[in-house]
Amino acid sequence: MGVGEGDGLAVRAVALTKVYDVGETQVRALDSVDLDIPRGQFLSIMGPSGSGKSTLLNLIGCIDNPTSGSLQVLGREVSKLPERELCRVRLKDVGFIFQQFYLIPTLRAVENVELPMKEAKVPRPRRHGRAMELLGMVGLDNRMRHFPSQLSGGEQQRVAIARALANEPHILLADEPTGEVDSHTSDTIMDILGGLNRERGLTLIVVSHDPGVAGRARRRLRMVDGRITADVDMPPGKGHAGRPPADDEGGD
Amino acid sequence: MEAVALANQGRELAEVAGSSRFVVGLRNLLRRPARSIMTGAAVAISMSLLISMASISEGIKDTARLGIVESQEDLVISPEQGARLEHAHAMDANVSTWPEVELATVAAYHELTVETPLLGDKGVYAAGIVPGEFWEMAGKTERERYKGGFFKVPGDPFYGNGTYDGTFTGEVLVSKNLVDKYGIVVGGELPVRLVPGAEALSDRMPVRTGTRGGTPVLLVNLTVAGSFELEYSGSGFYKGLAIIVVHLGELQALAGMAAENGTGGSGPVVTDLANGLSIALTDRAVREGAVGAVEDRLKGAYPQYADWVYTKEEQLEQQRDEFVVAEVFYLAVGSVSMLIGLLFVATIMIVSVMERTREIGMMRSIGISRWSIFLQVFEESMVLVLAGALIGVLPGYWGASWAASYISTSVGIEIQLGFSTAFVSQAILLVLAVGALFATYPAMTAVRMNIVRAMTGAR
Repeated sequence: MGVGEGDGLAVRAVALTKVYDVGETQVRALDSVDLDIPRGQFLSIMGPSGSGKSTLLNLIGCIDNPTSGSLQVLGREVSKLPERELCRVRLKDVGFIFQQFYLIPTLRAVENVELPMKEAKVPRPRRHGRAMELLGMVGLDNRMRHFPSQLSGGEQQRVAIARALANEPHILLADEPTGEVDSHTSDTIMDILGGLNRERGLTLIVVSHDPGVAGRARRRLRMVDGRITADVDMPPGKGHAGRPPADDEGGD
Repeated sequence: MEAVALANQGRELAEVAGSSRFVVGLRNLLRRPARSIMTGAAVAISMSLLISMASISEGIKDTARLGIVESQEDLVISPEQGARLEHAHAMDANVSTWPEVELATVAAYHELTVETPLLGDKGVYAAGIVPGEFWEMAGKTERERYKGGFFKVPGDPFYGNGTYDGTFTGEVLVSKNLVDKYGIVVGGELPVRLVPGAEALSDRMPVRTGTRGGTPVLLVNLTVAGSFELEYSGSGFYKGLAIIVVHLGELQALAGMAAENGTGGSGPVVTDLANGLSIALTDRAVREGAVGAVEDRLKGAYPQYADWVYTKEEQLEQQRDEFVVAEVFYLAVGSVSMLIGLLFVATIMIVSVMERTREIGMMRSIGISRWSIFLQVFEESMVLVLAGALIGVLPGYWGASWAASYISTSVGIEIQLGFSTAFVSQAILLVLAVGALFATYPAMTAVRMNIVRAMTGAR
């Protein structure tokens, strides 16, 4: 694959492998995965526990290093980048949403959203304005000054979404984003994420056990034992972002 | 309840101040207010001990130093342990005639035994001085030690005309602890025993005979003219707990330093022994830098004592050497206390970091740099260190004042505490500097975490 072929791709993985040492044994969490994800795509990854979906997400999010293979994020090879550069990719190019929200309990909602912008040295008035705008976008205009402990699970996840968007990333990674909320809130969160994909052209990669969540994606991957066993591209109108899934393809 | 109120106040403060790293650190500390308060208190205690110890150490050193600095002594002849000056009165008289010399005086020391009203026989350290000369030579601090009464007779009348046959005044000053602990009364009598070998001049003193354990002893009743505060010395904790001061000639007579039996049966031979000669130069001589010239002249006139001639600067240097052990002791106690306090902070902060592994992992995952996380944890540690250090200043002052007061009332040594803004600033800076070293470890622990392992709660 030549230089420049990755243009238009958000992610390109070639023979991507991750091996963990667990005691004296080696666990192949990701086994020579090849994957291209075009910019602006909404992709879901399903699979049983231990199938490697979170590992793949972690590698794309640059919070873990592959054992071998190549990984390009937004056309840049990240598998050999030093920590300082990886940190910059995490800060600027990729937004991460977690199942457990992971908000900082001592920061108010608006301060949590400001945090990545502060790290990116965005001037205070600008970052504060943008944080308020993002919180408004996720429907939390009146909860900005609340601490996470004063927010419901759904509200916390919406703050986390706002935080993930703070530095205007091109890729949004969501690891079980609805895993800890009720079905109504789950729909709300997925509506927001789907809207971001549709309206802003954000590349959205969602790992989920929930077929309802995964079914909203245009493209659906299934992983087993560190390999991609199914890669289904749904035609527009079926399983599209913002719509409930029409099939029952899902995880365990 | 107070801790909760304090935590709420802190949160309010943080709300007003915005979300700077310092404020975030403050909020993190207020997550567990009781633990943070206890950690700060540990630093405060260690800081107060450090300040107390250093303050007392400085105070003792300064108090002793002041005695030398304020004294008029520009030169001294101070023989080494066991050695003495001979013909001391004559030497004093001779040196006093030198044009550069304002004043010279000799002093002698010897152990004596006194009979105390409450506890019987007591070995004391006796000093013999010429009161008028001594008073003029002493500095302000030295004189203040004698506010409990001084000699009524200024000179050394017993020595009189160059022999020990003048008026025996019997005046004695006693250290304050002898009054406090042994029941010696100012204005009362204090029997002192003649040192064996001092009988040669017994017919010239009001000697009476007594017995101790069936053995006859010669006693002289001295009259207590006053009491004085003890002086601090670096050689040992303090130089002798029980001290008396008498006229020079009278000490010489009581201690056998006035005469020895001459050879050939020619009767008593005056040897006039003393332990030191102090010389004050005229202002003009000092101004014109004549100290060195007088020192040379002194060494030339008395070559046998040339090795024992010291200038004021050399005396201060000697004193510094004497105080090294005491200083090291006090500073070691203070420093160990400080290290324990700071170790406590480091330990608590490591615990705090371990409790926040997921949070730290998350911060890394959203692009917060290692350096930012390092600074966050580091600042939290330093907030505890700074708060403890500031809070510890006042208890430190109280502790030092209490210790000085205790030393004063128990052993009669007045200490000027070495407590000043500069001193406190230095102590705070020291604690902050060492605290910064200790704060590095928990901060490094935080940034070394593997992101994925941290986010799964693994350590």
